Amino acid sequence: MNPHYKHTEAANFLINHALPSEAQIDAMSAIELAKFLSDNGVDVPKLNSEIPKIQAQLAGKISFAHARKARLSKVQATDVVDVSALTQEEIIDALKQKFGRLEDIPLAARNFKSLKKEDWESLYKDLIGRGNRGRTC
Amino acid sequence: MAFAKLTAYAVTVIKKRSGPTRNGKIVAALDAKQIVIQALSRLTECDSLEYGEIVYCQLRRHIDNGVRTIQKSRSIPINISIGTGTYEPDAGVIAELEDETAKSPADEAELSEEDAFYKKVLSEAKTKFKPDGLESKFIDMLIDGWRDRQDACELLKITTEQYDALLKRVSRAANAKKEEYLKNKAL
Repeated sequence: MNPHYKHTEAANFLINHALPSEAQIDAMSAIELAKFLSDNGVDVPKLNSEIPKIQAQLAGKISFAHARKARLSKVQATDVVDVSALTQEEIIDALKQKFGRLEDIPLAARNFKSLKKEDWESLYKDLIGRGNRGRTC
Repeated sequence: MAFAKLTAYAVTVIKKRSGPTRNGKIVAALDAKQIVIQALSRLTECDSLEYGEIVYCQLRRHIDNGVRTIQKSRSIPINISIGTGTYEPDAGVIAELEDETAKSPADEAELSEEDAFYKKVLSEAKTKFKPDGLESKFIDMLIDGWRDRQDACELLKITTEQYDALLKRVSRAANAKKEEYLKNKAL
C-alpha cells in the first residue's frame, strides 16, 4: 500500500466490489442484464435495435479483412518465380500467354526490340505479378 | 446477448476507471456501446473466430485496454528542446532518468488531487451510517490498509457472511458517493 494515496486505494477496493465482476456479468440472465444496463444509463431498446446494423457492419469488415488476407497469402504462395532466371523469350511468351494478341498487351510492353533485360523483368513483375521481390499487380 | 454482456462489462470498466482527474473525467464521459464497437473492430485482426469463448475474452481485454489507455495517458504535455541551440525557458531538458518509476511533479499533483477526492468520498460515505457503527470502523480499517477478509472478520468480530454483507453495503455507499461527486463536479 502506498501511504500517500491510502484513500484512493481504499475507495478503489470498495468501488471494485460495488460493481459486478466478469463472472457475475456472464452469469446474468437477459432480464438482469437489461436492468443493469438501464440502471446505468444505457437505452436497452435502442441498443437492441442497433445490434443487427452493428452485426452487418462487422461482418462486412471481417469478410473484407479475410479476403485481403487470402489475397496476400495467395500472392505470397505464388511468389516463387525467380524472374532473373527467365530469358527474354520466356517473358515475351508469358506476356503473350496472359494477354493473347499483341494489341492487347499494354503499350509499354509492345516494343520488344528496344527493351533491356531488366525492363523485361520489371514488366514481368508488374504485369504478371510473380516477381521474386514480392511485387504484385 | 454477448453484445449486451460486453456493454455491461464496458460500463463497469468505465465506472472503475473514471475519476476526478482530467483523464478520469474523459473516461467518465465515454459511451459503453462505442467502446464495444471499437473493440469489435479489432476482430478483423483475428486469425480465427472459431472459438467464441476465446474471442469473447479477447474482446473484454480490448475493452479494458482501450479505457486504461485513456486513463493512464499523459495529461500534461511536456515541451522538449531538441538540438535547436537556443534556450527556451518552458522547454524540458533531456536527461538520464535516475529512477524510471519516479513520478513527475504533475503526476504527483494529480494523484494527490485524486486522493483528496476519495478522502471526501469515503468521509461522505461514512455519514450514511451510524458514527460508531461497524461500517465506519470498516472504512477506517480499509484506509489503514486492512483489506484481508479474515483479518477484518477477526478485528470486527464478525462472521464471513456478515463481512460480505458489510462490504456490499459500504461499497455501494462509496460507489454512489463517487458517482454523485463526478456527476455534480463537486470537487
